[in-house]
Amino acid sequence: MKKTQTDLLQGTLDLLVLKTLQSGPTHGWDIAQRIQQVSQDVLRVGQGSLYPALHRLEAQGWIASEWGASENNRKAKYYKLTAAGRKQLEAETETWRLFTGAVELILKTS
Amino acid sequence: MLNKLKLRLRALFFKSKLEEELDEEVRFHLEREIEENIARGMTLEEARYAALRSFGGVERVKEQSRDERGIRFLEEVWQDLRFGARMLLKQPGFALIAVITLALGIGAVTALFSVVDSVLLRPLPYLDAERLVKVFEVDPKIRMNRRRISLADFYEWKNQSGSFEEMAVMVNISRRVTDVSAPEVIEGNKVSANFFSFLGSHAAMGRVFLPEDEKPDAELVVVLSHQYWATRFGSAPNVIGQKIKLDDKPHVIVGVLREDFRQAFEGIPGRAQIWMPAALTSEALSRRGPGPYVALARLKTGVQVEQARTEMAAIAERLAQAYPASNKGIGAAVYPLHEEVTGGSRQTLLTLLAAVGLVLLIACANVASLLLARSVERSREIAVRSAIGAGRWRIVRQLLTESGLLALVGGAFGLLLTMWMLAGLVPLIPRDVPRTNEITLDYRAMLFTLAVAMLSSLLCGLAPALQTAKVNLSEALKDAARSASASRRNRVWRGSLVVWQVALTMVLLVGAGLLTNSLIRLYRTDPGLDTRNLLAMSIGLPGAKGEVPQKWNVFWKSLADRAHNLPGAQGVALVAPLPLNDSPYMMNVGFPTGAAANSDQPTLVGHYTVSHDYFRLLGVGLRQGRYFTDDDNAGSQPVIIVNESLARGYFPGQEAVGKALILDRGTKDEKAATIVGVVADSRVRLDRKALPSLYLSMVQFPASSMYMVARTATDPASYFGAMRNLVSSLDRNQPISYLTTMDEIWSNYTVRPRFYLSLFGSLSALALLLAAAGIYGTLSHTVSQRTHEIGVHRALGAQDGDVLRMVVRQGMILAALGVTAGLGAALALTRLMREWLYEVSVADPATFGIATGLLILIALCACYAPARRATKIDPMIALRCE
Repeated sequence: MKKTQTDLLQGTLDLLVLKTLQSGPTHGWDIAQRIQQVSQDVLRVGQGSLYPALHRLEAQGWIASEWGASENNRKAKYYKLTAAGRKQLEAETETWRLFTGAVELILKTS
Repeated sequence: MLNKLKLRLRALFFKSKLEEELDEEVRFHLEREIEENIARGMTLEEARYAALRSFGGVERVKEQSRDERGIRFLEEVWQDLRFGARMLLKQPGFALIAVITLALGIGAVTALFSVVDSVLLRPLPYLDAERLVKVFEVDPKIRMNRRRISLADFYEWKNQSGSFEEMAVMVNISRRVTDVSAPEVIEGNKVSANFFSFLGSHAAMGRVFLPEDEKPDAELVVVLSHQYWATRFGSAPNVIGQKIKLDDKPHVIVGVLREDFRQAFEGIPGRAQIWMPAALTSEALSRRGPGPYVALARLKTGVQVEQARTEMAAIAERLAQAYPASNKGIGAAVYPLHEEVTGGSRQTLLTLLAAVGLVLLIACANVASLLLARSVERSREIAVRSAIGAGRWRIVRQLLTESGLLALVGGAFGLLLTMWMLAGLVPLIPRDVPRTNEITLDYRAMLFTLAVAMLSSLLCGLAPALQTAKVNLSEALKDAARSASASRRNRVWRGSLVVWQVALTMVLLVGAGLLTNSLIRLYRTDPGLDTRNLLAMSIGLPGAKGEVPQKWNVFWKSLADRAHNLPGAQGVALVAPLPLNDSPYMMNVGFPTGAAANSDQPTLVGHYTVSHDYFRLLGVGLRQGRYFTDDDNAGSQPVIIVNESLARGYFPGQEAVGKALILDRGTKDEKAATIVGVVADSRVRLDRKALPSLYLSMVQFPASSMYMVARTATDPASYFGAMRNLVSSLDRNQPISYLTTMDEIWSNYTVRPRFYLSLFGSLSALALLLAAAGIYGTLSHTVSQRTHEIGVHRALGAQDGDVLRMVVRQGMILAALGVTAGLGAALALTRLMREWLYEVSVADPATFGIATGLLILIALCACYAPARRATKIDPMIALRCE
């Protein structure tokens, strides 16, 4: 059976990108792939929103970029988490947990 | 943070690099996607298509990514700046004129601002200057708000008051310095020992005063100004501990002040050379009532002036009860020091700043007018831009960026001009304006320039920008050059700018006219004295105790005799005080019965002490009776000569000669004297008419301090050296207080009016030039816009004269409107100048008339050239270019 695909909630994409980068620097395509894989194809990142998000996060100073070689030795832009980004990730994770916990509570009561 | 900034700067300045990177990033993504798809078993074609579809609009993604860089706005500004610069450089003539115009306006405003800022706005250069106040006594009976105090009252205040952190006291003094090669009289201050620590000032060498310095039996000490140390002691490093003889008493030099110490209050700035402690003798501490001292105080933090006033009033009340003999009915007043120092020149400087502001407005109007003219030419360009999607705000921004660019460049040049203008302006500022030695062009002035530049860019750019952006697309694209309604609107705008310019110019012109008029009258004033080639020298004799006053005359006589024998000296006389330089001394006089004044009540009249040849030397005409003669001597009946004002005022319709007055009425020196002559009036000051005055003979009423005046064959200033030698040959220790010429004294009266006039004169000349350029530019532009219309007129048989009249009339209607508005504004504004004017009414009809005439004439000239050009329009060509 095909699993349900969920559109990403506004704002959660930033969190997912930061989380993905926590395990090490990587490039845009890989980020999209990993999110899809880790979420077992539930979350699918549209490229249309991934790149603007990456540039936005960079402008905020949460991630930094540099050029490097990809797995098959091609030039690719690698993103990595900055110190500020790490803090931001913690803060956003906590907010997310609080939020989902609260939603869960409400769903349980009814 | 730094990272972010770097990123933005990179985004701003390395745009193409960034674009490449974005391209590459997207390309990499697509290639990976395609590989993946092939791996899943698609053909290359299918894989590429699928990848592109899933990416969803490559350009859109790129565009969104770009936006996320957060520099869109900056990028556009940068784009506007470059475009603006290109547009301006395309018409360098226009840009140059606009920049020069703005530079003149901004430069002038900044120069005046520097003066206002240094004099009025900046805190005084003392510790916690904003909390410093002056404290005076108040005598409501004679409406005296600032009575100076005695040391005794000061120390009562200091002990009783709780509003002040600290109090200090001071008084201006002058001392004769006698143990040096050229004796002189110098100015200084007597101060409480805490004076310098109170102000937060330190000594550059040695020390300032200590509490023991003011003890009654302490050694006499003195602190020198840096300047006096440099000029008098040649900056000798070993000056501390040396002695200097002041009024014949040796004082030990204990310190030299720092070069940057400024005494901005009490006395002419820069004059004070010495400071000495005010000794706390038991006599000084017991003498109450009015004194010579000025009290300074620093309010405690958080205490308002009003609270201090209330407290001081209560203290004054207590003193009045404790010492009714001296303090009954005496109050106290507290005034902020900054206001005391700057209050007198506030209105003057602000009026001048306003006048300069008017010039800036005129300059902005000129540039706005130029921009409007350009906007007509650019309406097609603007229309194209808005047709391909530029919003109105975007276009307005573009145009404002252009005017901002002009204003910034203008401001930069203006700042250069400011330095130059300040160098010319500062020496002209009258001496009684305080703190002129503190005027500098600093970062505050630069910030001000920037602000003014931005403001002027809005002033001159906003109207044209809004006007241009409101372009009617279809009309403009159809026929850019002659969109009828737009160009009419444009013309109305430009016309009203001309009216404004002319009106503002009118105000300045009237101001300059009134000042010229006033200065001419001042120069033409007949003081009633012949002041040509006259030298004046003031000498104060020590007047040692026990010395017979008659002995003074021995000195005066030998001085006058020797001066008389100097080659080139044509006449010598002695007088005290010197008319035109000082007001006369006042004396209570009792009049005989039958005089207009009540003889029981003493009447105050002026009096001068003169040598017998004074009247002849100064050309003071005899009206009745006789001058003093050699028969009027110490042994004979006291006689006096009165001036016409006194004779007319107190003996109307009677013969004044022969009447007796009682001099010094009501004092122990009361003495009757007979009037033997009536002489013509001479002025007290150049700008003040004669007072009822009387003349005493110096033989009968000797004076210890007099002016010697000498008429010389050539320039009196060239006799200064001879005079100095003469005095020191009589007495080596006798200093000269003041050596000058009558011309010099006369020019002191014209310093202020000349300062105002030179400022107003140059401002109104500038305004006139700008206004003429405005009229000329506007009309020229209209003529070129109306070429077609004029061509039709000509084709229908209009003659040169008709065309000329048509164009000139259009210009003159604007000028007339401007003149009318300007006359109204001038009538309202010249009232601000009342204090500057001498014998000229602020609504002087002649001045208003001349200013109107001049402005109309200039406007006519400015109209003529464009009108002339209009007559040259060839109807055939004009019609063909349709």
